Amino acid sequence: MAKASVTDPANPTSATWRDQWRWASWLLMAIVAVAALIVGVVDNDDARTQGERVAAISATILCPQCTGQTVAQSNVAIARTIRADIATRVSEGESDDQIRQAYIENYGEWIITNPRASGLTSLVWIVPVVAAGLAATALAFAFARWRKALRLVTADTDTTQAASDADRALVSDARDRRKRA
Amino acid sequence: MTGQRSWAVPVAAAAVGLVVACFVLLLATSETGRGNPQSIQVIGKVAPEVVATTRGGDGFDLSEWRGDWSVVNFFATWCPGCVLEHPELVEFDRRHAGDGTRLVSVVFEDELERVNEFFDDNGGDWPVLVGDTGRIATEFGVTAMPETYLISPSGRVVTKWIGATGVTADALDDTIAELTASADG
Amino acid sequence: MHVILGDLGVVLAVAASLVGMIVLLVGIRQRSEEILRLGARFTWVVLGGSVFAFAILERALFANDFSVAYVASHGSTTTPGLLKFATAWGALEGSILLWGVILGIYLVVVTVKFQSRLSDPLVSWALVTMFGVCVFFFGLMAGPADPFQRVAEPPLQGGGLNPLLADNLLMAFHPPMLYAGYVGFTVPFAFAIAALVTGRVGEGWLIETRRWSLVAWGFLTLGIVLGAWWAYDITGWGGYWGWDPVENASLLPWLTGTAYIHSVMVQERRGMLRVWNISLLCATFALTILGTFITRSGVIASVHAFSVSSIGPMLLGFFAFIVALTVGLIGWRGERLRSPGQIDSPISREGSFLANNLLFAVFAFVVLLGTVFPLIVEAFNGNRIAVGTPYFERMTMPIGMLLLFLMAVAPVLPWRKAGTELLRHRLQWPAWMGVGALVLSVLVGARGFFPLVAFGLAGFAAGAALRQVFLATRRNGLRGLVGRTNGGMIVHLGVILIAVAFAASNSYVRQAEFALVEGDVISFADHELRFIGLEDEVRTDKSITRAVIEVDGDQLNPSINRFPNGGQTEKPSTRSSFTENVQLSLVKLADSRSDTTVVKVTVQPLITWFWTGGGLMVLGTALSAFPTRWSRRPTDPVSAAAVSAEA
Repeated sequence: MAKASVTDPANPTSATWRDQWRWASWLLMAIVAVAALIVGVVDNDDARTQGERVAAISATILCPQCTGQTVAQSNVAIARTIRADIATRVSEGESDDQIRQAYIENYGEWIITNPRASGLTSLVWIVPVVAAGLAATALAFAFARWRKALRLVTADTDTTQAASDADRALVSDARDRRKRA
Repeated sequence: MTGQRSWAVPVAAAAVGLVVACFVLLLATSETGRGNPQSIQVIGKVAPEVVATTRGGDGFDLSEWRGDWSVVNFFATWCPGCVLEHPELVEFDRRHAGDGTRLVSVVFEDELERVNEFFDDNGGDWPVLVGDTGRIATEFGVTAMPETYLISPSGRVVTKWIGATGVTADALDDTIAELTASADG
Repeated sequence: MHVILGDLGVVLAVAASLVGMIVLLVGIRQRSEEILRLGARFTWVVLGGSVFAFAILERALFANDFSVAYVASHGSTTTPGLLKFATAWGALEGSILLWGVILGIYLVVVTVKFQSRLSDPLVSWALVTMFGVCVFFFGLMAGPADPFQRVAEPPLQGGGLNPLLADNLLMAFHPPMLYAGYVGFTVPFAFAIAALVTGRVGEGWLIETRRWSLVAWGFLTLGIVLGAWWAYDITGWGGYWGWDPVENASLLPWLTGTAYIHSVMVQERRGMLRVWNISLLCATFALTILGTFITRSGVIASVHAFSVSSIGPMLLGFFAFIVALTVGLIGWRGERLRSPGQIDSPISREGSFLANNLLFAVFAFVVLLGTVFPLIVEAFNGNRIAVGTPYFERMTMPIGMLLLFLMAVAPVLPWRKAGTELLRHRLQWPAWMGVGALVLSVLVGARGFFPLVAFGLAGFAAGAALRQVFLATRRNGLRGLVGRTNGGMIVHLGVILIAVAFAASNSYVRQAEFALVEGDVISFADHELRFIGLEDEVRTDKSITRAVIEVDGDQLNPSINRFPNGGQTEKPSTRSSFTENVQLSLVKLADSRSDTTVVKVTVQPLITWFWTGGGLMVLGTALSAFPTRWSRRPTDPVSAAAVSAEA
């Protein structure tokens, strides 16, 4: 099933041709992928409309009267008022950060759903990255240890024996039995 | 292979146990069933701008009232608490007619006709701001209705009442008296 | 009368669990098969008691017996049939009763499936553990969470279901499926405890419970997807996953459960990772209890939470007990658990499972940390902060991308070791599919770096899964669709569909609000909306004011529903198609003062792929659990050989 590129003694050029085709195929794939990505990124009309900006900012401001809902999700009076206020501020030219800062000043830090990247709050961003790094390092160490142990175990064993005819017969026999079963 | 690290699993288990114990302690000591925290950022600061049009059509600016105590009340006809506290506000306004202490209502998410109807039926002839009042509400940090803010003669927000309970003419007067006394003393 | 009978059922269940536990412990001590069989019979009594209590509650609900406190608070004469049945689990006490019933069912199925091996201490200890869990839950029902309390003066009408629950039929399906998943993990957990206690920590208990874990995981998946569908149907702004604490609480055991069902395959093949696997499994079960605690205690504010109740501390105590028990047992048996053996190379099936576990562990850590972080900050300096969607999305997106990549590479990796040559060969077609997906997305109009990378990786992963299924069916015909690997590939396809749906519907959503009067026609996002008018309908269970709006000729009726108990919900209306969903919801109705109705329009692509993906995942799980030709019965009470290194 898996055609390894073993050099077939009868036809020495076929393997290399297959190899080359495979490399060419991967290269072509890479070119097409990069091209598509470039089109996708460059052609992107990144400018958000005002409505989209308002929606994006509203999604990060909690509705002060509700539990766990943003002003984008709730329809109570204060939520509608805040949405309208955000729209006014956007049309007045305030930036996303200015608007969020204004709301933090008016209501408190708890009204923004995106935790700050400074002070104690920054831990929520940092700790998972550090933990992931530590875990990956531990895994890498484990692999290194296993590889060293394997090398010690197999160091003396002669694994370079070629398969004998008896072995080959055994294998094809087992294969046939399996096919029939 | 197994003999050397016989302590590894118990130590790891103990470490995990310790972390979870701290976690359980955290959960056990946390309050339950709370809502959002109170929005009291504005207290102690200079009052935000209150500039709008009254229901009579005149312009209004709160900063003109500097030098006297003012009460800013956020109001809507659809809010039962606002309707409930209205008589107290009428009383408060009556008591302070002419002595400088003033009251202004900021209407929030409501319609002019309804507001006019309400004030015609229930009295109260202090300035009532209508129109684009959303910015005023968010600057004060209003979360629900009604909310009442007391502003000192120097223009600072000194305290706020959320809801209608405790908003009586007496309570407002007592608070003003207290704060005036402590300012002088 | 309902109160007395219901209490009787609950007390019967508690008593039977307690007595059964004691009898089994005696039987284990005496090594007497007769006593063990007697003890196992008590599982039927537990099931009987719980089902009886449940039936009594349903009878009280349908008879509108408002002398029962639960019915008085949540039942109503106006609730229609299916929802009336579902009211049994619509509030706290009833939901614990449902948990108890499902626990009873699992208990009996375990007894039946293992009836020929009841004398095996492994099975007996597992039953003891399950009885222990029963004692806790039925104890809750007998005490603080009693659905059968009497009301001194029965009211004339019940409180009715919470309007948010009463407006959608998924109320009848999401909780039972979710609980079937949560409770399902009790079985492999019980066997894990049994394995630790008896010292038989080899692969026997694991292989025994493989199907149980899969079934539980499948139900949990179904429960979560149904929950997302329900959220989508009622929220009105196209949302189906809000990273809300209760949603996260259901995701956590799913994440560790997924890691578990992958890494057990390493243990089955190589006898390694025993400590890790048993910890994962116990963590999964503990997280189901923690999730129940978070949902019912109100410690973390959530849109979904049940009302705050006194069972919160008890659930927390049970969670602490489970963790202490597990940590203690694993620490004690630590030496016996560790096995020699190495993993030859990171580029192998084993290596990919380890990477999978790493990613899922980090994922679970991120979700847990984000959920409880506000509590941590408040405990430290008293500040209140919020951790919401922006955090979770930013942290989990790279993990999701890496998982997609892993899904592409892992199925083609052989066990032990692989060379890059093999990878280059086997990954050809999947990689072409990935590139094809990328090009197709660009052609269809998708833009933006991250969504496009996600689509490309999804195509890549789908290619690898399809390649495996194709090869298997080519070799074995339809049988090639059945069994662990192939079923697993179908599950992967489901996950890929969900990932694509998530990326597309979040990146390309368009939303706007319109103030409309009758007769208005507006154009938005290539759709034409025509506001026909408002309609009123009064029914026994609710009164409806609906807006009739035509979207490209199809009629949609978003409405505002008012319930007799005073509650009100806004019910959106959705037009689904293979490519795009249009959802309308009412923000404000026209009334006597103003004749404009404010309507919110949300247009999102590929939402239906989410539900289809969920269905595929469940189908794949069923196929995975299907018995294959080589049905092993490795129930010998002997550990796998733990002495020599793997040959």
